[in-house]
Amino acid sequence: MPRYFLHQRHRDEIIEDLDGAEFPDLEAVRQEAVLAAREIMSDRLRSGLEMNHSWFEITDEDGKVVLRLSFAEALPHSERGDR
Amino acid sequence: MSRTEPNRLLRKLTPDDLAIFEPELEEVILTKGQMILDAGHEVDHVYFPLDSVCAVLAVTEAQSPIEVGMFGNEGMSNMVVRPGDRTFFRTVCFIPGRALRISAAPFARLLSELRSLNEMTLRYKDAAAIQFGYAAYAHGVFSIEARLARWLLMTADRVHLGDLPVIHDLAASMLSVRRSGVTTAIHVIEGTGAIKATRGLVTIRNREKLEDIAGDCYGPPEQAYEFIMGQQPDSH
Repeated sequence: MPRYFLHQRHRDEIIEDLDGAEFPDLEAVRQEAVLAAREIMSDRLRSGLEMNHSWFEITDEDGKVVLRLSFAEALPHSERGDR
Repeated sequence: MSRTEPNRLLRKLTPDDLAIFEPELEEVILTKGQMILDAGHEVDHVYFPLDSVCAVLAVTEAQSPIEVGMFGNEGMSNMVVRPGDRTFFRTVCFIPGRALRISAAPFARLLSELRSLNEMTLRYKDAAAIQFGYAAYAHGVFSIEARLARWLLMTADRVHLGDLPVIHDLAASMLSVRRSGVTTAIHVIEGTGAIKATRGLVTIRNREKLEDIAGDCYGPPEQAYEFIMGQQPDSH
């Protein structure tokens, strides 16, 4: 299975995913990013921290960006209708 | 030094009781990820870690297992009162190392025969229950950062290494957090100077800061352990 790296960007800050993880396909990575974004947002919300301007930048093993997903896109009421 | 010396619980046995208990112990190596007890199964051995550390996990059908507690050289695995007793938690080694173990039948017999073993294992049960209770407090109320800080402090208390081999996957499954949540928490904690993280390794740089991040979900159970286990067993 291909390995993907779920880097995070919060404004100017970059949080690198050094280890990465294996996923069957890009849709599975996107699903993981959605669930992770929701979890991080709920934690920040509870701690009273802002969460705008945060997104996932997902790269493949060659370092090529294959997907960008803003945290806002992970909200359940987003137009993509994620559950 | 006797081979039981590194285990703080065994160190509390009276010399007479230890002389009877010790020959029943067998030294084993626990490897990372090795499951020593599984939920719903009979307890075949009782383990006393020397330098290994194990996680106690609640296993449910709906969710992935979640850590409810850990033990290393300060404690022991689930005990048996009678041969055939089952455990309802899963126990997995996460810091590899040595442990002493005893078969269920002799343990159960000696538990009723050796007074200091009986007293110290009962005391340990009490200390462990307090630790498990604080895990509920941590999971219910605290941020991922605080819970990770607690987990790092508890692990550091049980190993004698400067570096903690913390793979994100492992911390994530123990804290029931997604891997990205652990990545973020490590980044935030590292930003305070409390830890230094490299791939797969975390070094504690400033313990006080880490304790501040953990808040009071770390500390009270550790103080309770010292108080409860600090008593000398009755030797009469």
